[in-house]
Amino acid sequence: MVMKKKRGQSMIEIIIAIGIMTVGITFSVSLLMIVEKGVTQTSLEMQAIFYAEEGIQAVISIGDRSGTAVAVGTYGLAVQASPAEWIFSGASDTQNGMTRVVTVSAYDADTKKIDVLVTWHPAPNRTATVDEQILLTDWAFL
Amino acid sequence: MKIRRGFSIIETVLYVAILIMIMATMVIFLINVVRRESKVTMVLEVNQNARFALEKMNAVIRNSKDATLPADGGGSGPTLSLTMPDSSVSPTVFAVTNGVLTMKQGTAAAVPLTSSAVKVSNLTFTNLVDPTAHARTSPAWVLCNDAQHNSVWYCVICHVSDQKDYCWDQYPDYLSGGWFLLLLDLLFGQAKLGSCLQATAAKSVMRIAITVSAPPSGVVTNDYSASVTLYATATIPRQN
Repeated sequence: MVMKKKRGQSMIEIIIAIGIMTVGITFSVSLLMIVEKGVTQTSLEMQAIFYAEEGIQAVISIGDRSGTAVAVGTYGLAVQASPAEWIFSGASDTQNGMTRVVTVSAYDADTKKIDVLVTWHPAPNRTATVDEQILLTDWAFL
Repeated sequence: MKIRRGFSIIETVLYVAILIMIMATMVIFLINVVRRESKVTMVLEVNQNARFALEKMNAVIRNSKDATLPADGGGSGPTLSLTMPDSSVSPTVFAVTNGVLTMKQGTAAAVPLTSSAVKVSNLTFTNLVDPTAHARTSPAWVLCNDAQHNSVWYCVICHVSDQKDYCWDQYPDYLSGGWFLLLLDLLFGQAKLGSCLQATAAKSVMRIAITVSAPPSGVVTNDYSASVTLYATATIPRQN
């Protein structure tokens, strides 16, 4: 029996090799895209956390001035020019595509529950949120 | 048997074409990898720098005695100057020099708080305390009444020349000194009745907005750049 001598790669082998390579490259590129997306999300989430935390601090400063100013309701926050201070304004406030809503609810006679919700859209049909809560006591009543 | 003569021209052309295709794919792939890698690095770098800078400023503001710059009552600017309880680090000044946020404590040299891989493209401090909220007239004792507190004598007496910001600071002094002192002061015109305009519990409520971006210089395109804007509000308590 005469064996046929191998002369290199057949067409099939080349096609399979290119196929595997294509799959590998596509995989790596999509992996990188996922990493990039993840890092960008993290960045947005960090911005949202700071934005929410600022909301908490702003409500505390309003409560410091007057405990009764922190009344049950849903608010936005704004910096008033004169007198220069944080105030409740509207039903929400927006910064860099992020919407912040402060919800004040009654907890007990001297305490209010403050909820700061920051909402944004990482993609057109997706919604992400960060929620921070504190209890604020009006010491003037104690 | 036919003698092999090497590659035919068709084979060579095909081979080169396939090679070019593979090489092109690889190059595009590599460019993509480098581009995304640099973008990811920049986003991480920008995040870390912005967060560290803001947390540091937050902590220093909360432990300070007062802010001299920007001015009370809504003053706004890129430089923050704080009076610290420890005189060796007072004043502590935060400012941006050539895109780098620096902290200068007392007479020591300014220390950079952000790395050279990023640029602080915006830094704004807003000092949210209205001077009228604790305004006083010429030196005299002020007997005031704070409607915010149910206890009438909670916010009662302050001396306008002692640089204390809030009415109730002097209340214990009068208590220990006795009402006799107050009566004397009233009698000799050293004290007067007045209203303590809405006393705030904070010396300053400082709003900070910081934008950190990368790269620090050069051509900025969407693929090769990153930017983050963070906001924070820190309070200088009255008792500091």
